[in-house]
Parts: sequence; C-alpha cells; structure tokens
Amino acid sequence: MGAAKLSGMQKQVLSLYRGFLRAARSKPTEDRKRIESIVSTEFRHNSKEVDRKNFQYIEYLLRLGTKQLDQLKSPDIVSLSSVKVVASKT
Amino acid sequence: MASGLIGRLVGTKPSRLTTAARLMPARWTSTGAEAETKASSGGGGAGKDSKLKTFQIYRWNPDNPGKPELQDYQIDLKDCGPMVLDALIKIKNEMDPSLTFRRSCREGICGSCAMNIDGCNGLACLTKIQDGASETTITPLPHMFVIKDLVVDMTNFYNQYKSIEPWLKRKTPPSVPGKEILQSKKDRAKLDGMYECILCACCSTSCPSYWWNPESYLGPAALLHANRWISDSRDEYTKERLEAIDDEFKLYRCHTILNCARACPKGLNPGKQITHIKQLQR
Repeated sequence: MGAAKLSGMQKQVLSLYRGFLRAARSKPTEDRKRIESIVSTEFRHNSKEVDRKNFQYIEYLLRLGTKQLDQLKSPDIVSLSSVKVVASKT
Repeated sequence: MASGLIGRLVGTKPSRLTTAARLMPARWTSTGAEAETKASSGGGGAGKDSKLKTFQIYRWNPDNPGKPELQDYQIDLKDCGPMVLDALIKIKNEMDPSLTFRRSCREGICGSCAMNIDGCNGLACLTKIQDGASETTITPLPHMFVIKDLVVDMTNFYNQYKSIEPWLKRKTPPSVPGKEILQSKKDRAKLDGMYECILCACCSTSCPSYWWNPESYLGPAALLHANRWISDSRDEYTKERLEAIDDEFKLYRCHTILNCARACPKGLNPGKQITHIKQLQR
C-alpha cells in the first residue's frame, strides 16, 4: 500500500478486485458479505503466496478471475461459495 | 490390440536389410509395424523385442506454478496404438495420471485433441507416431493461453466464431412456409470445403498474423465460416455479412501466409476462402 507507482499488472489485479466488489453490491445483503469475504481472502492469500515476478501464474489467475467475474455479473447467479480441498497422499 | 498382433506376424521376416536404404518416412505414411530391436539404454520390455520411443511433453501445473517444462516419457510402440493420442492415453493410464489433455471422439471429427506435434499443429488422434529413434515433442497450440499441460483457453477463438453470426439469416419467409428452403445441387456444392470445418483451431493457431493480433484479427477458421455463410445461397444477409468483416483488422490482417492450409487436419483451405471474401469485397 502506498507504493511509488503501480505496474500495469498490479492495476489489473486491483481493477479485478474492484470489479468483484461492485458485482457483490448488486446481490442480496447476506450473499454480498459472503462474496466479499471469499474474494478478499482469496486475493490476500495470493498476494502473500505468489511471487511478484511469476507473471505467467499471475496472468493465469487474472484470466480465471475475469471469467468468474463475468459469470458473477449475470443476474441469475446469486452467490459464491468456496470449498477447501486438502490434497491427500493415497 | 490388433495392431500389436499384426506387427508380430509381419515381423517374423527379417526386415533389417531395408533399414539403411529406407528414407525417413513422412508422418502420414509411417507404419510402425516392423520388428526392429532397438538398442535402448533403458533396456526393452521383459525379454521380447520392444521399440521404445521418447515423448517430450509440455507440462505446466497451475496448482504448483513454476516454469513450464518438457517432461520425457518412454513408450513401447509395440504395446501402443499407432496414433499420438494412443500414446498420450497410455502415458496417462500407466505412467503419469496427472497428464492433462482434451480428447473425445478419437477419430478426427470432434477437434478436441488439437495440439502441436513436432512443430506442426494437428489432431493427436489423426497424427501417426513417427517411427524411428528421434524424440517426439508435444506442446499445446502455439500462442494460446495455457490452462494446464496441453489444455488451452479457447474462449477467444469461440467468441470470434460467434461474432460472425454463423446461422442462416433471412429477410423473406421461405417460399413454401413450414418447409425447407430449397437449394440446388450446384449451390450446395459451393459450400464444400467449408462445412467440414470442425473448429479445432489448428489453422488459426498456425497463422503468424493471428499470433500477433489474436483479439482483433478473426483468424482463418472464423473467416472460413464467414465465407461459408456468405456463399450460402439461402442466406439473404450477404451484404451485411461482408460489411461486418470489411475491416482493417478483422479481415485484412491476412497476408496469405497460407500456414492455415498446411495445418488443417481435415484438408481444408481457409486461405482460399479468405481470398474469395477479399474478392467479393472489391
């Protein structure tokens, strides 16, 4: 926060985040809170875990996020939900 | 497997005489049914003749993202069907279940298994495994965003196809209401070479012009379909269709490189159809 100048990719990530929050505003209140919490945990987790220089992965996540946002914007979609999967070694 | 049996029968005759004299077979005519024993460093199968071939396959996992890599797999061609898709399925079944690729019909009609095999775009189910000791490199379609391993993001390609409105559009109702709109055999013959397109994206992803402008240039596949609807005698919106693509970027990024005609696994010629559209535009 408060970095000197944001790079193009950082601006894209922020605009995607804003897009999600705006889409959440158009949903009913309880779902809105859930969407906001899922989206913000996802973004915060990735910002810590993903290397800043790993452009390929960041672009992949941006494309994935844009697709999910387009789906969310549709009026038929009511809410987001997320499931945590733990990889087990069998 | 039938091919394995046939290989065994033919192989009883020693065919080593012809090995030196034989030219490197072209991809389309390789037979894969000889009984050569290859001196491979890893050793062959359990005591029988085995023909090992190395496949280098592009791997990238979004769950453990790092740099994409080419991973080597050795396959005994005796135990495997003749096509690259057979090898991929065998690798996935026996060696590495995490290998990800699209496939459906296994007969070259659905277009799902389009990928880049040894530098050329094609369908894995129609491309024979090239005989010989050389390694086969399999990578996803070039200049496409990779979702995982050999699976690419085709949404841009499909949106471009959608944008040309690939359905019959009429202004007047049919001459006999409730019945088919009739078309002469000659008019139907005009559509040959265009209706067979399976939207595999081999042509568009082989076009350098499409590599440099994937969002603005429609690409050979979409333009082939645009021509299919423009040439359809039953369609009455020809003028509007031509105007819709009469654009510096949508149509005229084509510089008749003609990689598309080389790449098409169904033998179509999108370049020729694009030239037809350009002639109509004049």
